[in-house]
This record gives sequence, structure tokens and C-alpha cells, in this order.
Amino acid sequence: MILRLLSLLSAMTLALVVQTVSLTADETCQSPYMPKITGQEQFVYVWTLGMEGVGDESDKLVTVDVRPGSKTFGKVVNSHSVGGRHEAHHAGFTADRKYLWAGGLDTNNIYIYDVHTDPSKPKLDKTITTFVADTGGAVGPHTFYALPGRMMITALSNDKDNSGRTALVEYSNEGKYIATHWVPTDKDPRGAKIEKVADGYGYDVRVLPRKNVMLSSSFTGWSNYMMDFGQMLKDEEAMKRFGQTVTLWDLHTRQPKKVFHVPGSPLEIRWAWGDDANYAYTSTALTSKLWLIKEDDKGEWQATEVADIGDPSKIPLPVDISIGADDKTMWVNTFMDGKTRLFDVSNPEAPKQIYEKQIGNQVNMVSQSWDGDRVYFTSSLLANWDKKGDQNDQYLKAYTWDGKELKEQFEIDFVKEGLGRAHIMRFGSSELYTG
Amino acid sequence: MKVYARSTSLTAMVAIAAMAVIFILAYRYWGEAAPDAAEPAETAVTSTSAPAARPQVERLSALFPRTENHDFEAPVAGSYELPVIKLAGDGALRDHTGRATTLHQEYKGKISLLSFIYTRCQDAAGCPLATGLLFDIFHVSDRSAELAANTRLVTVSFDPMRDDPDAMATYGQSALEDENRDAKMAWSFLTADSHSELNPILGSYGQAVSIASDADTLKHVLRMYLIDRQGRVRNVYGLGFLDPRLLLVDIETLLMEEAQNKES
Repeated sequence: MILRLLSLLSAMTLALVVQTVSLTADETCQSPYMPKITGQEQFVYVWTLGMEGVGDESDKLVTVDVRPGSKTFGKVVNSHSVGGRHEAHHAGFTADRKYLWAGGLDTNNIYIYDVHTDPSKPKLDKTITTFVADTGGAVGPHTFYALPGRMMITALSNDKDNSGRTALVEYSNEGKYIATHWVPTDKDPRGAKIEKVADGYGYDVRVLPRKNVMLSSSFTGWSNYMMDFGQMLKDEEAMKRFGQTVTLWDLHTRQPKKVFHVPGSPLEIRWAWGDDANYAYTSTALTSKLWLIKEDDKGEWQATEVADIGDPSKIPLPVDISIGADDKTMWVNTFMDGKTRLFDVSNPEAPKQIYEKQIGNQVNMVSQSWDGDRVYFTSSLLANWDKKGDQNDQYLKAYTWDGKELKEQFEIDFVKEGLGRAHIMRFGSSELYTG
Repeated sequence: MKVYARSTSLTAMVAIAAMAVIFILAYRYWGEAAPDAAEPAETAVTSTSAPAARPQVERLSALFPRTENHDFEAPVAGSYELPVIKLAGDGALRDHTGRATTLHQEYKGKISLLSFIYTRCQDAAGCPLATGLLFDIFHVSDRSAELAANTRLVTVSFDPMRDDPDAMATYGQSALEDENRDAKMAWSFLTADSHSELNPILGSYGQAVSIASDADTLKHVLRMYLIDRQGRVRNVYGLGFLDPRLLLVDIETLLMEEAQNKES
């Protein structure tokens, strides 16, 4: 009898364990291994490119207070300059969310900020200046994606030919180099099944631990992302040097399994959060398409084009995307027309645009709170790709979303404030580190 | 600090939490959750003589099934590399009998799986999950004499003021008093004398712990660490990676790496 009771109690506990594990989640585009902010974010960190003639002209981490009711709500409360311009681009927290790693695509420096001691004033803790040498020639540290005890970093290029041939790189949370995983190529597929071509390019990385898979996407190399945008568009050879692949990896072994053909430079990758949702999205910059990467009924992963973004013939240049925590909607920004578009993705096979709004002359990154009630936008794509003259507005804009309309809460003009070009946003909160 | 003060109610909480873990372990040992159900469970429960040796298997990882939360074919041991992440930290601790020891002394000569817990943890996706997983591995470890002889499980409390050696002995009772423990992996249940001795250990592994607003809950990120025989961290696991197949395949990969290094 006692054993039966013990078994019943334990079975109930085990059932709870299974349920809790399957519900684990995070803010909508973050690593699932990271503590999440499910309530109100307190700060938005903006990794900002230095801009000639603006402030100290150096890259900097800008901290904005977004606490409702705060005297400094919507204001810059801290700015830390790293000195010089490094092509500041993306940033990501470690899995314990105590440190923010921020990269420079040109100089390959990685700046590691302590964001837990005082979340309102991130403090530079360490700088990695040996990325190219450590990795055996990878260039352009881009995505910083938290795995337990380590950071998975995608690079964009290499030091041999400055093309998009590149690698995924791992560092320990302490900033020590661990390993380099070169993206498979036609000449060196490393066991991967290739749909059409394996270009070896890289951009974003995201994982789905439940299926033990990792996806990486593909952009372009240093020779293009540091070139003037107008000049590049006229350069036929340069325009051939864009990624056209998404690579599926075994997450645990880091071995590439399949190279999908996704033409037009697939950029951000977003996995759905649902307990049994075995699919991810990416958007292609040059062809303006939404793609679905999904496991089929036979257990085989497939990549399928599922929607247009705007009018592809006008090349609106889709950039950042942000999926809702309920997997029902996804924000999609298009850089050239400065619009954000909301897609209904409740049927992942057939996304439909249901809303759009002009955010600025140009728009790049979008970040939403876990509940989807607040949405933030920034402006800069790359220093040499941003629009020129009056069209080059640089901002952080905060909106609320009520399910029907984006309503602006505040805007910070990053030029008037002497800051620079606003790029990626990450959320901070002191409540992550206290009761 | 008051939050670390002992009290009767807290002692009761320790006992309740420990019982909860014992329930889980007992269920996993005797109940239908045991992964190698081929062996009659009744034999293990009712036998009064020395337990019979269980059939050996080549790969322990094969004893665990694909599950809803780990819905993939497990990798093949030895088909991939486990690069060194960092040196494993050390520090003074006590075992469940109160004997002074260090982490490195516990690791010595074995491949180790390290887990930080606190015995009162009631987060079903936290410490009970980690300890239950280690117990699953412990339970089948007598099916591979090679693995049992070369591997150690190490559980360390990050609540030293309430988890004294007695509490750790209660927490680990099912394993420490297992009738077939000599044929299974060694399992250390350790605690520190103070936070000042514990904190450098936690820091060296990157195990984040903070006190929640209710003062009885310790907020922590669930982590487990694979330490090789040279005292180096070779993998760090979080939720999603806590699949017994992955842990065992990694251990088997390290054993194969050692064998290859000996040959060369």
C-alpha cells in the first residue's frame, strides 16, 4: 500500500517535471537556456555604431530607461564608449544573463559587459581582441547565442578571401576560445546532405534542443558588408557573393546534417515556441520571402518558401523578424521602405500580412516584450549601407501594441543625442539578479 | 543573515523536500519508470541475499528511450569531439558523513558528472529533475562494469547553512544505501561549511544562485558538468540537454578517447 502511495505521489511529481520542462521558454527571440523577463523590462541596451561627426564618433553601449513611471523613462541613462569604430552590430547575453557580449564586424573585437552588478550601468569587463587568430581565420563575429557555459558565435567572413565562407565559433563564458566549426561547402560537406549548393556562408544561429537541431543562415563577407551599398549594387561580382543556404546541424555533436537551398540571403532565424512546434522561419533579404524550415511527417527537415514580404520586385530588403511568444504573429521589418509588417503565422504554411506601419525612413531591428505588448525599433543596418543625408534617421522608437495599432511611447534621436547609429537592442532588468 | 538561520520549520522543509526526492528515486527504482524494465523489479525489492549480477550491455545509453522532451536519435559515442571548456574548479567540502574532502579529491581517477542542488528545492524543473536524472544513470550503472568503475556522480549543495552532512545523507539515502551500490557508480553527496568556502566553487563553474524574495527559495539556473579524468570541464548541460542518453554518450565518448590516446 505504502509503495503504491509512493508511486502515485512520484508519478504526479514526474508528470509535473515533464510539463514544466516542456513549457520552458524565454523572450521571443532569445536562447531557451537563458532566464527570461516575462514582465516589464527595465532597460533597453542599444549596441550603437560610432558615426562621423556625431558625439565622440565611437561605438558605444547605450542604456535606455524603460521603467514606467521612472523620472528618466524614455531617456538615455548610461552610455559607454569602447573607443573607435568597429562596425558594432549584434550582441547577446550569456546563458546566466549576467554578461552581454557585443561584437564589431570590422575589427573583430568582442566587448563583454557586466550587466548584473548594476543593470542601469553596464560595465566593460573584458575585451577579446584575438578572435581571428583564435578561430583559425574566422572574421566578423555576428550572432552571440547562449548555450550552457559557453557562447556560440557566428562569423560572417574569413581572413583568406574576405568572402562569406565562414564558421561557427565557441567561447567559454569566461572568454576562452573552445572550438571552430566551419560551415560546410561543396568541397568539404563534412557529411552534410546538400540540396543544391553549399556556400559555407554564415549569419544567424538558433537551436531547438527538443529535436537536437541547430540552424545557421547565410549573409555575405567582409568585402561586401564593409562596401558602400550603392557601389555594391552596381558591382555584379559583388552581388554574386551572397548566401543562399540554411544549414541544419546536430546540436549536440555540432556536425552539419543538411544544407537547404534558400536563395536571396536568409538572415534571422526564429524557432516557434510551441511544445510540439518543430519549425522555424527565416526571411531572405534580396528576394523578400518568408521561408519555413520544418520537420515533415517522415522526420526529414525541409525548407519551403511560404510568403512574399511586401512587393519583392521593389526589393524592400527584409531585415529583422520577431516571432510572438504564442507563435501566432511575427513582426517583419523592411529596411528600404522603413516599414514594419505584422504577419499572422498561426498557419505556418501560409503566413499573411495583417498590419503595417511606417517607422522611419529606414528601419532595421525589432524587439518585443514576452507578452507582445511593447515593441521597440532601431534604424541602422550597417555603417556603409545606411541611407544618406536626410534619409539617414537614427533612432530608438518604443511603441505599445494593443492587437490593432502600434502607439508610439517615446523616440530617441541618436544623432541629436550625439550617440550614433542605433543597432541591436537587448532587454535588461535588475529583477533577474534579485528576488 | 536571517534567511540562512536554522529553524524547526526549515528543518521540516528539508525533511519534506528530501522525502520528495526519495519518493522520486524510489519510484524510479521500483516503479515503471525504471528504464531497464527487462529485469524483474520484484527481485530487487524482495531479495534478502546479495543481488545477482545484472546482464551487461555494451552501451548504457541504449537503455534509455527517445522521449517527448528529447525527440531525436541519440548521437553515436565517439563520432564527435568534446573540446575542453575550462579547468574544473576545486574547493573544500564535506561528504555526507562529515569527512573533509575537496572536489578534486572526489573527482580523482574518475570521469565525473557534477550537479549543484539544494535539498529543499521544490522546482520540478530544477534540482529534483537533476537528481532524478542522476539516479536513473546510477540505477543502470551496474549494467556496465567499465562505466561503473570509471565514473562518479557528484552532488553538491549550494545551501550550506541548511544542507549539513546529515541533510545530504538523507537526500542521498536511496543511493548511499542501495543494496547493489558496490557494483554501481560511486556517488558523492557534498556540502560546504560556509558560503565563503562555497562561493568560489560556484563562481569557478559559473553556477548562478541568488536568494528569491521569499527567502526560502534559491533562484538558480539548472546546470550539470562533465569533468574528465584530468579535471577539465568537457561539457555543460542545461534544460534540454538533460537527457540520460546524451550524458552517457558523452561519458562513453570520453572513455573511447582515453582508449585511443593509450593506443597512440
